[in-house]
Amino acid sequence: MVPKVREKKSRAPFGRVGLIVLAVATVIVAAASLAVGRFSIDIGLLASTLAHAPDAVFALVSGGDLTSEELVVFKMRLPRIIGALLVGGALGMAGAAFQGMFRNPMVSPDLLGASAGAGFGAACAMLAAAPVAVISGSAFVGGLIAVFLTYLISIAVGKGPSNVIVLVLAGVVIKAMFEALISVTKYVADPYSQLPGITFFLMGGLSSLTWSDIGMLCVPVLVCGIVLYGLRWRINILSLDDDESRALGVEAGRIRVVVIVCATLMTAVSVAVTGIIGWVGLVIPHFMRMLFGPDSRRLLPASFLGGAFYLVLMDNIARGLFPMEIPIGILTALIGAPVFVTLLIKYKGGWK
Amino acid sequence: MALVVDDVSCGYGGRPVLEHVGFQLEPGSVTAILGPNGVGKTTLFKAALGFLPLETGSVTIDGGKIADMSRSEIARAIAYVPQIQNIPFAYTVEEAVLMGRAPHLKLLQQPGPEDRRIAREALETMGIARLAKKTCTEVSGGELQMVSIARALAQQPRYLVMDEPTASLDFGNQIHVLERVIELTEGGIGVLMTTHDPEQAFSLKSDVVLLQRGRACRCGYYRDVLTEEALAETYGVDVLIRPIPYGGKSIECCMALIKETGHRHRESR
Repeated sequence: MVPKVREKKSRAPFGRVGLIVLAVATVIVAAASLAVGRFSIDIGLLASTLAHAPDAVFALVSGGDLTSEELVVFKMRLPRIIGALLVGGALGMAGAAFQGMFRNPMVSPDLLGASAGAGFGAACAMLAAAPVAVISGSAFVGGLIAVFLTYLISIAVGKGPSNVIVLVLAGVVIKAMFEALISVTKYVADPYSQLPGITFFLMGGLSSLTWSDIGMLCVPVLVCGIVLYGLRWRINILSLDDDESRALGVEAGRIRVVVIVCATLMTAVSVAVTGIIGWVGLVIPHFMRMLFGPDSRRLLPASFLGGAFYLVLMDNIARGLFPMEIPIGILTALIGAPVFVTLLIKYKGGWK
Repeated sequence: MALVVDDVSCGYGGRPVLEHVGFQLEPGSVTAILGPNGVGKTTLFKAALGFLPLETGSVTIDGGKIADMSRSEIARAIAYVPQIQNIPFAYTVEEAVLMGRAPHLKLLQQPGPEDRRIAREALETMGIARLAKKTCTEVSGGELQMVSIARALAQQPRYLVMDEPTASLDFGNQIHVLERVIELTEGGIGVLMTTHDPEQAFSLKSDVVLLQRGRACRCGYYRDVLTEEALAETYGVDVLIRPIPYGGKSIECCMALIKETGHRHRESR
């Protein structure tokens, strides 16, 4: 008899069950968030308000009368929470997709310049007092140009995007350039009517989210999310060498373009609606990779859920912790940066 | 039935590397590509995999021209085992091997139970089933080479192209990999491999493509091609080939000689 060899344990501890737990946790946090804010609503009142949801939604659509609880829950908090879920999910998933695509775990929508490019695009459109749809489109174009430029520089300077340092440096350069361009838009903006709007917008915030913003947000985010989810196993293969993926029968070029466009679009609509909310796209995929491993079949959905969970939680802190609301972009940076450094130190090589 | 490289010339950006190279790889046999650094070994197998446009000639697999086949069609026939596995993320061994199923799946399709079974089998064939749940960053170099080969096997190819499968492996692991190569050919797979060690062609009793400087090329059975003179000419060093009696048989041994410089009289110590 052959002695049975004991299987060595995998380092990524969570599988499908973990995803379900994460999804349930996200739903619970999102529901509980309805009770958080300056206008205090206790659980009993929240429950009774939610019980009358159909009436309230009808009143909201038809312009009927709402009680103040209903107004706060359905008109202010619900779109905001759904927005936080979508934006957090979009940024987390886009980050995970970018990291796989560039074979580079240090990449994120911020570092590639996508956020800054989208911010510049949005700021330009705001300068022209364009409608929301144009702001989104302009943000997308700006984001795409920024990612494209970063990619080109990394190819021209290094041996391609898998060179961590070169890609990060190229991203820093492009990001700095677009931030300078953003400053230009601020400089030429009307200091009374336009400048405050652009400035607050770029700080990143969920406070002004309305149902029409959610409409803008949900179609591109969900469509791109579904496309990326559909390609999840192919993204694994694209994380290999070009020659290797070709030898596996996968012509990398076209799929890579689709993935980059989807991830950039998700980032750009998020930026167009909420401004630049940094760090989510870097920290969340890293954290999820520690929990679920690098296989995109689990990593992509986990990053979406994790990003959604994280941003809802951050938004609660942003509006509940201090008497005055803090822009959430400031909060995610203040919390994200040290958390990220801690993760790097704790897991040394394990962040792969 | 064969992988036929016929009169192939190719190069990079107008600079010719190979000119009129031809050989044939039968299923169940090994062909070793030998030659000094930079002579075009890698170029030759990239051409065989259909990665490079050809200036002359053609590559055919079992009668079908590679140029007319889709990427995934080629990948179902020929698998590639790269030299250094540069996996940027810590996939588990199982996940890495499962990737070999890609040419059999449609764009949006996920690997199913059947694919997992085939990946399992490939792991068992390579003797690394116990590593399945380990990550690729945790296993040793020799084990990682086995993972690469297992991934290629999961493609269920008829031919394997291996880029220096024994490079950067220790003395023992080199032989273990060659043993696996022999097992694979016994299973009917044709193996094309590059190597820096002519000795391996002797051990495998394989066909040989010997690429020489000035774009010359000799092909044939190792015994006909790998003579002391041909190897000396190719690598620019003196080479000895001697039979060594072992267990009633005779094994050929091939070694390069280090020139006496007058400073090397260690024996007198």
